[in-house]
Amino acid sequence: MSGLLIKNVTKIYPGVTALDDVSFEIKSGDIHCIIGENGAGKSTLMKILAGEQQVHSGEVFIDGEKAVFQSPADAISKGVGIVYQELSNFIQLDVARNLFANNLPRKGLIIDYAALYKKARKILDSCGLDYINERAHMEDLSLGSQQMVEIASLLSKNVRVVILDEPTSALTEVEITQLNKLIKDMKARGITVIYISHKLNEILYLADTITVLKDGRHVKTMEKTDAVTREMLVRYMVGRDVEYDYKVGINPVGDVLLKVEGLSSGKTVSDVSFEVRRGEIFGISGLEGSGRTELLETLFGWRKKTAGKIYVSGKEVLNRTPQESIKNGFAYITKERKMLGLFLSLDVASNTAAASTTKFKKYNLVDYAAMKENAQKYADIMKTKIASLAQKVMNLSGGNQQKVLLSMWLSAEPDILLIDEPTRGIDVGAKSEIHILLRDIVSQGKAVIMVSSEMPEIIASCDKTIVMYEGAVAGFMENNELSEEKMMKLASNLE
Amino acid sequence: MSKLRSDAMQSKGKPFVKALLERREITLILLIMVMAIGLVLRTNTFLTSANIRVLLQGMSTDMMIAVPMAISLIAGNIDFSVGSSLCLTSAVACTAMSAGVPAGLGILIGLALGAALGFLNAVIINKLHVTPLVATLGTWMAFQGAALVIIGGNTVANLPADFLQIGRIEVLGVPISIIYMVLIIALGMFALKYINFFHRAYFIGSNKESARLAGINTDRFKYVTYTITGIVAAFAGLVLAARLGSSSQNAGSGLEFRNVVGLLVGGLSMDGGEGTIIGATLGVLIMQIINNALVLLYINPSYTKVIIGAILILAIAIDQFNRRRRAKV
Repeated sequence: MSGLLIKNVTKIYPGVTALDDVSFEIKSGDIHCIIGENGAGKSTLMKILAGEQQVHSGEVFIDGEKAVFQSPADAISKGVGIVYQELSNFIQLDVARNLFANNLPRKGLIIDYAALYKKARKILDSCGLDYINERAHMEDLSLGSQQMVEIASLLSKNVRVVILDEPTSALTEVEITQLNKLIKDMKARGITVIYISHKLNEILYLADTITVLKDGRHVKTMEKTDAVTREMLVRYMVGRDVEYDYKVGINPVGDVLLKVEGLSSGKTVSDVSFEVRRGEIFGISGLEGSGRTELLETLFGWRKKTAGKIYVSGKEVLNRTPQESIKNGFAYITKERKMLGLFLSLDVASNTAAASTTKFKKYNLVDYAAMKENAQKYADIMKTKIASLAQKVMNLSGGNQQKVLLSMWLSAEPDILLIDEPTRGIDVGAKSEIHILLRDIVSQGKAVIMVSSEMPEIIASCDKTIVMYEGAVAGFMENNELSEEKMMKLASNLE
Repeated sequence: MSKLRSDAMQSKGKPFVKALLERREITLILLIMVMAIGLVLRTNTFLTSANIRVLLQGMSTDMMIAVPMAISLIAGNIDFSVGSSLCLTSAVACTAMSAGVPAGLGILIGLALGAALGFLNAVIINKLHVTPLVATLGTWMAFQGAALVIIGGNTVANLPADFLQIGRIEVLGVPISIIYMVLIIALGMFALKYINFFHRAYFIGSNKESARLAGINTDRFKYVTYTITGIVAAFAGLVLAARLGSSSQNAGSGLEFRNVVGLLVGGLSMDGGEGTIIGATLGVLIMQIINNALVLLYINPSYTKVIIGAILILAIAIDQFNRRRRAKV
């Protein structure tokens, strides 16, 4: 028996409530799928169930008994295990060692290799994985097979609740079929499977029960019947009041500044074409993994372009490297501002000058005075709250860090600003300030291309938007055509 | 269905010969054979028993220490301080013995000090959270400095006769240092493959986080392996001093460097997770043969450093290339 009861679970991170009073039941032996858009709280809830995070308040019961896990290892010993999207295994070692890790069969202090391989073979066979060789090195197996081994490893530890977090995002068709077979086998053995995915087709095929989360809250738990359709699920997943309005369409729009034709980067970005005019904020929407960030990376020369052309003001540009792109007037503000953007241990003035250092020289030596002047100018424009220009950027709040990052790129005086998740992790007040800033920027004749997971943000600030699905453009909409439902449908490949 | 079959073919073990050729150890053995043949042809002294004896004895100090270093490196922990540990423990023990301390006690002091130095490395790494490379570079310098303080530029001779025996006796015509070396290699091979505690080196080196999640105490592993390395370094130093009849500040000079090159050539990776004791042995052997060759071919010893430096860069480049290739999976 392995039923779970989630009762009033709340989880708060600094600045954001990831889970808000979530309660629902997962029936023993079910294949229970959890869906929701990016940021709905699915991953957080799974981390709590798997023992990686603790609840802020609320309780989890397994078969009627309260379950508090100190660590993932603790969770496994009590019967709950998770397999993540990014596998974490011992890739240079063989399958048998991966299955047993710290539990190698031994006689006293000595490892019993004969028993190791025999037991490994038994485990693989009992999961129907007779085609996987227990002596093969993990790195020689396909990704799908590696995942199977991780699942087999959990099963061998008598885990009764198996959580799969987006398991098919990197699998081939054949591997997906194999995985589905294994999942059905697990169900037949009475194991409860919790399956996170945003692939609605898969959900409708596999699920016994479906739970929808939205903005950290529980929306609905329903049994999968023929009456449940993808459209119905989409409607549960989105549908909220649009709160903000960032003055779309108030500034004049000029000529076509950027034209992208058939842009591809392997399979991750596939034949993308669009146009952006001066004065426009162009949105790119879609689910995580649909290639939005990779599209920006390709435009900026940080990711290899395998096909297509880029035109700036009618002239073709190659953008083979970030330096070239910057020379061509591009700027790229990544979504990981701490890891890929700011220089946390340096001060505000240095950060502001970082993308345009060649501007700040006098007699070919570093001109600190000019750097300071420039930083002050932008701090004033953006109303960045800093104690002084010498303050280290790591000590600023998220919103102010984002403003410094914006200042850094604006100092380089780009024409085309690529920005990924402009207000991620930023409080409501700063959010609107940044959007107003972006609108000011395009009012001066520049163009902004914005990737965002927050559909309300896109609807509120973008003149035109494309929705991506699996690397390609699923749809294009003008601002007045935008709606969350429509965007979600396109993002899930439903229209 | 056919895709599954191809997966099976992939995982069932590639054709035996191909798999064999991909093993670093085979490449190394071939390389050694090529070098040996080359040297036999170019000189008439390579394969003489006298030269082989010199070769093996000459490598014994390095090789003994390379074994625990290899186990540590497989777990991703480098130890750059071994040469200085050897020098310091040798200096202290020999100074004591030349001042009248009996051989048995002198040896004990040396080994105990070696253990303490090794343990200190682990403490710095575990408690002060300094990375192994930086920590052991620091102790490399500190231990060397301490040795200088103790013996300065002098050579400590005047060692008790029974002490000299531990480095000079022969068993069945084989010098004892070669026997120690072979024993330590065998012990290392057994421990790494069959003793659960040491076998964990592969898990820790392959994925430290997963190893911890699986319940492996990575801190404890460091305490044990660094201490053992310290003890073996001290032992090798004592054997060396016994053989030479003296201890000086040059003892162990460049040892860690030579060994790291040897280990990398032997198939270990700076990141850990792979390699075998056999591979390590072959790697160190190759470095010794190269050294031996440079002498037999009358090449200017100054070139030695250039050549070894070049080999180190080549070995690391190949290591990086392999890691990058693997990361593409």
